[in-house]
Amino acid sequence: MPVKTYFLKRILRLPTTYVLLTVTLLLTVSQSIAQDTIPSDTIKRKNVDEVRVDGNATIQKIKEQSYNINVIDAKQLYNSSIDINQALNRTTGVRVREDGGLGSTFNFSLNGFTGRQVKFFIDGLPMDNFGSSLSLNNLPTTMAERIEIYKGVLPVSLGADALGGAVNIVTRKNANYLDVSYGFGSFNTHKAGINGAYTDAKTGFTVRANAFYNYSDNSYRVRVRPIDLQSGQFMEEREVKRFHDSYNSIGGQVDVGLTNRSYADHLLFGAVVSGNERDIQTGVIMDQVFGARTANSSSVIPTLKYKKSDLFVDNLDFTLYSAYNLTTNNFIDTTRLRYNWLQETIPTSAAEVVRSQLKNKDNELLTTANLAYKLGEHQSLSLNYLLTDFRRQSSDVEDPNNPTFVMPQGLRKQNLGLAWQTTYGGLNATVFGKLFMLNAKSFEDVSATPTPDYQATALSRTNGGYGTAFSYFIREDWQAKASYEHTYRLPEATELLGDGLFTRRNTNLRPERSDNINVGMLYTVIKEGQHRLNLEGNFIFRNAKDYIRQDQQQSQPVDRQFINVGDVRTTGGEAEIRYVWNDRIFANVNATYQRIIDRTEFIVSENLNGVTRTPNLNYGYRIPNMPYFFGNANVGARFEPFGNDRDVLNLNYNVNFVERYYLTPSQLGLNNTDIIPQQVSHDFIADISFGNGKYIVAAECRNLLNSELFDNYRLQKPGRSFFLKLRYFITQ
Amino acid sequence: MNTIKLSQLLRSSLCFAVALGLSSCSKDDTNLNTIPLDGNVYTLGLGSTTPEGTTNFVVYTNDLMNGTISVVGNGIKQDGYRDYANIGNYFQAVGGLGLTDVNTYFVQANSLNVKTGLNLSARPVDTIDPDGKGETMIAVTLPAKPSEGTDLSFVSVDVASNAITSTKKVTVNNTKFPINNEWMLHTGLAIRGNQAFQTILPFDSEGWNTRVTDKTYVAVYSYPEFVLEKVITDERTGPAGAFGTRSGIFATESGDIYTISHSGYGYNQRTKEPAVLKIAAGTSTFDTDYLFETMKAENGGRIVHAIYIGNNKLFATVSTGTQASQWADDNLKFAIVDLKEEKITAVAGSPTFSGNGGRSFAAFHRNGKAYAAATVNDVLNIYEIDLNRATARKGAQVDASFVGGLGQIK
Repeated sequence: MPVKTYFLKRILRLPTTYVLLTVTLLLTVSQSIAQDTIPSDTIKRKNVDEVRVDGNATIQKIKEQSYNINVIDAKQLYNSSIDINQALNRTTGVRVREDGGLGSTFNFSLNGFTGRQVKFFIDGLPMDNFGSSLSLNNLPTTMAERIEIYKGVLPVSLGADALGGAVNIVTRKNANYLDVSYGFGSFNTHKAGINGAYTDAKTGFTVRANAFYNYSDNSYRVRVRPIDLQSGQFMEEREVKRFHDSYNSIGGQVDVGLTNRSYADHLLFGAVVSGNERDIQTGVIMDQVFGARTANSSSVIPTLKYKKSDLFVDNLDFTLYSAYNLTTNNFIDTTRLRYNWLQETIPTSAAEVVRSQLKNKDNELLTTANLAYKLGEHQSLSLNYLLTDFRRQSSDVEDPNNPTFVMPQGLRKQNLGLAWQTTYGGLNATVFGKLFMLNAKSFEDVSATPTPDYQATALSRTNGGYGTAFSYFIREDWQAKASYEHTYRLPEATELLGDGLFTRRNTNLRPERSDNINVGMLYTVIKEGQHRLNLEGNFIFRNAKDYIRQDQQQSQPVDRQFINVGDVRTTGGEAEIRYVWNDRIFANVNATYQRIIDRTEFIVSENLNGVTRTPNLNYGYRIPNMPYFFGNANVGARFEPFGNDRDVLNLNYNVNFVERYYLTPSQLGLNNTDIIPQQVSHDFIADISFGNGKYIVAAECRNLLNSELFDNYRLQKPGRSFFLKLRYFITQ
Repeated sequence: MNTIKLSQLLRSSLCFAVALGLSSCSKDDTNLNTIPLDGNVYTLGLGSTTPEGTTNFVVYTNDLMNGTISVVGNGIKQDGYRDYANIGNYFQAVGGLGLTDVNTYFVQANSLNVKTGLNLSARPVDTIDPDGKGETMIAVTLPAKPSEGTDLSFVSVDVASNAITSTKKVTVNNTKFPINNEWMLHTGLAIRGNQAFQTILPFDSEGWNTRVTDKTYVAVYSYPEFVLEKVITDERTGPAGAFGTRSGIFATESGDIYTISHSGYGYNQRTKEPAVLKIAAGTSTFDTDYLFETMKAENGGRIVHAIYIGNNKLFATVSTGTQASQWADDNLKFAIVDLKEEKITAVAGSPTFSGNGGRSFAAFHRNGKAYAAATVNDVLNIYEIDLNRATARKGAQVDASFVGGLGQIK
């Protein structure tokens, strides 16, 4: 076993050791903060700011950018147990669909775009290949300052071939603080988080660290029809507890370096270390139940962050963020038993489904660099470069001769973006161009006989994208916005070059492309006084072409191709209303409606049998298995039970609505019953702070009405659950 | 002023909400479009491929020859991938999402009924009626590779109750099945008296290669116990059948067994000429006096897909020309193969078309007529073949991507 993996496994098995180490580190930070004697007034004010629901100036400024952007002020969520995914689920345009409870796999969609069409960043660095322990359902909101969701049109600073938009997590940059929390709740769920930073103003020495730990049995009840393993017949429907669904993840990030020096705004060396272990309870639907399959993942990511304002000349700012991602994902199915929901078993001859100890080792170099130059008072230029160089090596001791394993694949992407921006009074305009360069490597079986002959293949591609964004304050309280981008999602190595067995190369494959348009309006109806009211509305249009999907027309079981099939047109609207009364009552309602229509008239398949053209019976209809109408409402109240504005009681109620939708095209078949039913879920949280806002206790109830919730076809989500969280927070 | 603004806002947001509500209610419920179940009732297993994936439906009709049979607003949706069987007056849709369930459709009191609730532990590679009585289905399961399991199983299902009556297992290894060091594919099953004959194809389950192609292999079992008696081989031609086609072996009324080797679709190595071999009634060895080389016969070619239609005859699709690649399933024409007379009769009016590859042949026959489907110039049609006159007639148009199963339940 490689030393790194061995070490990680040890860490994962001994979470206490790890937590202790982190705690020690953070206690050092907290001591340093304490020694620096923070004026108590500062703490109070910061704490008050933190619980404000109407957002702060930074958030407002970002919202007023010309892009169609949602900003989640993460500070408002620090007392809740929700992860970043669930926070995103409360905003417009976004649906995060989970298979089950904590740590379950999820599908993220943004205005109808899913999978690799939407990119994820942490502080501007792409995190798509960071492994499942660093995905958005692990990361606690307490590590984030804010979360930005760019829809359809991306600034060049987020350099990626994102067809439909991107999410960027901006981590906390406070100079000196400590934020520790621990919570526990239903289904034996535990969540702990520590965030802290220490900065010595004199020497510039800086330490920033955060760590998280999540655990749950996910032992929630589901309604199922167990299968009699002897007769193969379904039994009567009943309620059972999930029994093989535990999840744990642990992770930490440390940055050490210098800040506010003449040669660097910051120069930080650091590392992210994380891992998770997951039991797998079900297959694609709950009728398929597993009792022993597991998966785990571990990541080690050394990082370098550098920023310098006024580099060489005034007004020239340079930032660099570099990382090397070493991630291993394992999947294990070695138990020779078949399970049912009653935990009965019968022996099988190899495994639960397929005997496997699959190991995917991913290596990825990531570097993003940005140069920004201010040309006088009104104009600026920005140049961004992003390099990602990804390699995957798979192996499986249960299947050592699998031909797809002997062939490592590589994908190098380089993105260059140049933007010009101007600001005149209430007008803000930007024009940008982007260059996507791709270099893919794979192997191909060129043999004409049953003895394979693998040869390396490589391919390079270049595509250019462009776009523009405008915003204008028609009046002080009316801001109009419009943005457009012609954008691409480049193919992956397998899609383009195949894997030698299951997938054949298709060098004619084109990148997925889309023309994305946003038109929006921000309206501050009432700015001051007892009532404050804000409105936002956006119209979205997406015309996407050449989706890359596996050809389903081919007659062979292996050696299939990825082809360009699928044109999709989306028109939609999003609206949000925010209301505040006397800084005491807060209300927020949003809704998203999107018509996501299949515009593929014929399915054209080109293979060895010739070209076949089949009419697409979904032409002109909605894309199935895609939520199209959903919304959120949130009401909060703030009280000061102890007569001071530091120690407050917050009550918050959230309701989430998703209209029912179909798994398969609804017009096909008589009374199609492939329905993901309408969902309404209610969450409630109460938190109280005392000790000048240092100590916080929060109680939360999710799915208050114990509704049967489904994000996916016949995959039931948790019922009513409770969570209690204790938090300690100090800052300077 | 603020109050005015507020009320204006309330009104406009109400309008917005109403608009959203209206637009979300635009889907109409489809009216039930029941077809009268008197007269003949045919069933079709249809697949519709959209860019998002393939959806499968069981559709029933009284008329296979006229009009259009569509899955738009019609048909009973089936979960997941499906294969179909037509045992007696029952039509089975076998498959599912993750699991393998069996939905059995039949006519009772002039209405279409379905029996569900049966799960098989694996997806069958074949489903046959062992005695032609229309009461039993034998489902054969064999993992695609040893890492998925090493048990070959023969599951008997009583079709009327849709329940398993017996499961017989045989462990697959190189001692029992001496086929070099290869894994194997099941390519056909024929029952005769107290014996079962299974054609097997040595197969490289890792690279999907056919590296052992110099013999025909038939495993002989006792029936209904399915105890392996022996594996017999013959070097005059290659293995019988191919991946998924279920057309490797057939038994006749007189007790003769015929194996069909085509070395076409599914093979990336061909070392022997395609040929039909015979295991004569009363014996369980190959008949050395019989060799029917199908490429050399008049109207000849590779017999890729076939069903047995009685009197020593097959209704088949025959592929002509060279095999372009391992998975090419093309240049097909309907034909009637007389196994005893070693004769291939071309069906007049047959289209030339491509097959569905690794699928069972979607065809059935009743009263001297066989029915199958073919796509010509991007249009999918049912064809009726007069088996006595060897003529084809184009029937109903099918608005779907493919016909996966075809049968009659009344």
